Amino acid sequence: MLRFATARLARAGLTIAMVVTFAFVVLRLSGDPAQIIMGADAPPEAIDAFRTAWGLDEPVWVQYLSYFSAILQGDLGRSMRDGRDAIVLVTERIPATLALTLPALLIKIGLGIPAGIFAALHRNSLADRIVMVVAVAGFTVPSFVLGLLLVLVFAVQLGWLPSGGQESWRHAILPVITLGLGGAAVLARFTRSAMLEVLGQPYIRTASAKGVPWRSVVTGHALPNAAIPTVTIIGFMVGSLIAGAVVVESVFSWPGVGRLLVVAVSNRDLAVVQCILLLVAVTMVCANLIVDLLYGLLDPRLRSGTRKAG
Amino acid sequence: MRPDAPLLDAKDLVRRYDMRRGFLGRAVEVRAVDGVSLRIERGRTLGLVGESGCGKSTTGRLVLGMETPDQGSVSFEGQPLPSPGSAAWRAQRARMQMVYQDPLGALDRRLSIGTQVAEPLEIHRIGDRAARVQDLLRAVGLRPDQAERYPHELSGGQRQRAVLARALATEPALLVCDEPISALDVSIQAQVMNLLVDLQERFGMGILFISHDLRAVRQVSHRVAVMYLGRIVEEGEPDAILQDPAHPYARTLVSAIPHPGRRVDRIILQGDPPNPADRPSGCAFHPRCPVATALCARETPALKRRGDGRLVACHLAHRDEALPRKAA
Amino acid sequence: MAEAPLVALDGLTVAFDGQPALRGIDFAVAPGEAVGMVGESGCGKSVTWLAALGLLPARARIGGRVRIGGQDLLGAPAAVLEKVRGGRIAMIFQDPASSLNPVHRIGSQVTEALALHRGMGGAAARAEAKRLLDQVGIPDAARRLDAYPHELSGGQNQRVMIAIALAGRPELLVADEPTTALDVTIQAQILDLLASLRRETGMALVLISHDLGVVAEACERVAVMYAGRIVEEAPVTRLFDAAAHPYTQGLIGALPPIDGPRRPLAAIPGGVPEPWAMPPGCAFAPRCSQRLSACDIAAPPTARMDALHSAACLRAAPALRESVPA
Repeated sequence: MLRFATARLARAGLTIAMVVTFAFVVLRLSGDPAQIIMGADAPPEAIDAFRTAWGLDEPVWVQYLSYFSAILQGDLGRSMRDGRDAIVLVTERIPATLALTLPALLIKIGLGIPAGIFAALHRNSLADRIVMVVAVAGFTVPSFVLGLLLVLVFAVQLGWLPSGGQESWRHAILPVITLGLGGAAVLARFTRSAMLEVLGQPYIRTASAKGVPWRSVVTGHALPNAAIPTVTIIGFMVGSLIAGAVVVESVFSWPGVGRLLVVAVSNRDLAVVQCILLLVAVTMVCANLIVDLLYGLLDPRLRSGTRKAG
Repeated sequence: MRPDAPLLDAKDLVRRYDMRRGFLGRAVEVRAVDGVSLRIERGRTLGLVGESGCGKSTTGRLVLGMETPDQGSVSFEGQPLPSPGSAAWRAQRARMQMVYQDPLGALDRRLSIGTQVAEPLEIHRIGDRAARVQDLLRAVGLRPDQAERYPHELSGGQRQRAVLARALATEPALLVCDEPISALDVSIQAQVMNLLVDLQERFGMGILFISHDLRAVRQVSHRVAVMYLGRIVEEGEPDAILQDPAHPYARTLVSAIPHPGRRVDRIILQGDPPNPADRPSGCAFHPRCPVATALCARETPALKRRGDGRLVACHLAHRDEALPRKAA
Repeated sequence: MAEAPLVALDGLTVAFDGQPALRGIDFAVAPGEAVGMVGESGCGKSVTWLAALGLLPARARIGGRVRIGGQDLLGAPAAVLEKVRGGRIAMIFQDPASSLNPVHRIGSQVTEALALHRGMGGAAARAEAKRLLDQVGIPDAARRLDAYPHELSGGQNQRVMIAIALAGRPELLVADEPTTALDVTIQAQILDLLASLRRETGMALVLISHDLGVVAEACERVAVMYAGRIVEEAPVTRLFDAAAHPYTQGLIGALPPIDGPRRPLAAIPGGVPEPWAMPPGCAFAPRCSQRLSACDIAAPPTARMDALHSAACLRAAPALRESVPA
C-alpha cells in the first residue's frame, strides 16, 4: 500500500509541476506584463522600473527557477496589479464560486444519474430517446450559449430572474442551472452506457436465474458495478469545483475565481494566474486520489493483493 | 540448411516472467517454460498437450522465435534462430508460420480474404500472386470466388481455412498451430483436422499442434508431448500414450477424455491446476498425484527414456514400469 | 416416460427481431432424470431454457407453452417466475468467473438465494451457506464465504455457482455448458460433482453441451438439436448404437476415436445455416449425405421408432426405412 501511495503522490506532484511550468511558459510567450499593466503609452523608464521591481529583467530561466523555488517555500507571489498576496486575492473569491458549483454538482448528480439509469432500463423506448436527445443537446450546446438563452428567456422576456450580479440567492439560480444542466447531460450519458454494459453481463442473468426480483437485480447487482465507471466522471466534476465556472461566471458577471482568472489573464497578472492554476491542479489531483480510493472501495478486484488463492 | 538435421530442434528452453501478484504485491518470478526440449521432423506433427497455464503456448512462441528464451536454444533446419528483427529473421519468418485459436481475431476485418492471403506473398516478394491466391484457397477447401469476401461474411470454419491459406502462402516448412480448433463447432473441428492432415501430406511441412484435447492430438499427430507446469512429463507415440499412459498426470488426462459408450472409472484429481508462481517442490504434480511418495516432494524427476522408448518424468514410472492400474 | 413430466415444453418458439431461433420445441423432463441437450453453437439449446425461465431480453418473441407441475410459465406474473427461478428450476452457466457478481462476496451471493427461497437470514443463512460450500467440495468453506469471485479459480467458482443453485432445493438443475470454460481435469471434477449431487438430492438435470462425450457420460437420455429444432431424442446407449438422424450420425462420426487406425474423420461438410437463410425443408438437407428430394419440400415430421427413440428425418420413418437403403 505504501508503495502505491508514494507512487501516486509522486505522480500528483509531477502533474502539478507540469501545470505550473505550462502556465509560466504560455503567459511569458503571450505578451509582456510590464507593457500591459503600465499601458501602451507609459514612458520607457517606468516600464523598465516595473520590470526591475518584478524581476522581469532577469533571463527567463532565472525567473522560472526563482518562481518555482518560491512556490516550494509556499510563497505564491503578489499580484502585479495591486501588490496584494495572490493567494489572498484568490481565496476570497472561492466562496462565491462554490456557491455556484456546489449546487450545480448536486443537480448534475441528482438529475444525471437517475436519468441515465432510467434510460438504460428502458433502452430504445421513447423515454430513452428523449433523455438521450436532451443529453446530447445538453453537452453539445456550449455553456455560454445555454447561459445566454436562459438569460434571454427568464431575465429579459419573462423578467422572473436577474440576468447577472451577486446581490441575492436569486442571482445564483440561472448560473447554477446553466452549470448543472450541462454536467447532468454528460453524467446521464455515462451512467446510461455504464448501466447498459453491466446489464449485459452474465452475472445479471445469474441473479435473475436465482429468482431475484428485477428491482433488486438493478439495485443490488447492477448499480454497484455501474458505479465504478461513473465515479470517474463524478471525480472529474468534483475536481472542477473551483475552476469549472470560468465561462458561466463571465456570462453572469459572477465575481468568483473564474472571473478573476479571466481578468488576471488579460492583464498578464502572472502571480494570480499561476496561483489559480496551481489551485485547480491541486483540486484535480486530490479528486483523482479520492477516485482511486473509491475504486478500491467499490471494486474488490482492485483492493485485494491476492489472486487465485488455492 | 543441413538436410540431415531435424527441421526444428529446441533444447532446454526456459522462459521466465515477472508476475505481480495482485495489485500491490511484489513481483514473483514465474517459469512459464522450465527446461523443455522438443524436436520436429519434416512432414511430421508433434502434438503438445496440457491444461491452461502449462506453458504450451509460450513454448510455441519460443520455437517460432517470437519470444527469446532465457535459456536454451532453438535451431531450425540446423541453423540457430536469428535474433528477432534482423533481416535473416524476417526471411526465416516466411518458413515458419503460426495459426491461432481465434480466426476472427487473426484476420483483419477491413480486408478481403484474397488481399490477406496475398499479403505474405507481397511481403516476401513472391510473384504471380493472383494465381497463387486461387491455388491456396482451393488447397484449403475455399472457392476462389470467396477471395472477395470479408472475414465476417465467412463461417468460423471458413475463416480458419482462410487463416491456413494465408499461413501456407509462403510455403512454410513449419506450422505452429495453437489450439486451432477449440473455438470451432464439433462438426467443423473434424473438417479442420482432416484439412491439416491433407495439407501436410501435400506440402510436407512439420507441424507443432498445441491443444488441450488429447483426442484431437491423436488424430493429427505422430508424436505427443504432455506438459505440466512448464515441463514435458511424458512423450511418445500417441497410441502408446493413450492406451498405456505412464505418467500419473497423463493417465488422468486420458481418463478424463469423455467418450461415448465408454464409462470408465475416471481418475478425479483433487485440487486446482497449480499456480506457476507457486510451484510445488520436487515433482510439480505431486500434491495432486494419487501415487506420490515422499521422494516426489523432494526431488524433481528428470525426463528419461524408458525401455520401450517412451520419455517419462516420474520417479515411480521408472522404478517399476508397470504401475498399479488404478491407484486412485 | 411413464411418469408425469416435471417440466414440459410444448411447441416452444423464439424469434429475435423476426429471425426464428427456436422453431417448435416439444420436450419433457421427468422428475430426477438426467437428460442432455446437444448441438452446435446457435442451435438453440441454451435459448430453449432461457426462454422457459423468462430470462431472454425483451426483444425476444416467445410462443408455445412451458409448464412445471401444472403451472404455466410463459406469460406468468413476475412473482410466479421468481419463485420458480432458483426455487424449482435452477440454472448454471458456462463461464463461472463472469457469472458471479464481482463486487459481492461469495457468502452473500449464496445467502441471497437462501433468503429468497427458504426465508433464511443472519447466522442461520450463513451456516447453511457454509454447509452448501462444503457440499460442493470447496475446501475451507468458512473462510471462502468472505472471499470474492476473483480470488477463486474457475473450477471453484463453478462450484460456488452450483452451491447457489442448490440453495433453493430445486427439482431441476439446468447446467448450460458447465465445463466448457474449464480445464480437462477440472471438467472431470465438476461432472463427478453433478452426478453425486443428483444422487444425494434426487433433482433432475438438464445438461446442455456441444460435447456428445460429456453428455453421454452424465446423462441417461439425449436430445440432439439442429437449427432451432430437436432432430433426435433417444437413450444415450441407443443414440450411439443406432443414431437415426444423419446429423447425429455426423456428430458421432466427427469425434476423433481414441483407438484403432487413424483415418480421415467423417466430417459433416458445410456449416450451420444462418437464421435468415433457413432452407425451406429440412434445415440439415444442404449438408446431408442421405438427402432425398422430398427433404427440400417441408420440414420432416418427428418419426417415432419406439417409445423412447424419435427422429425428425424422412429416412427415420419406419415406412421409409424399409424401402431406402441406409
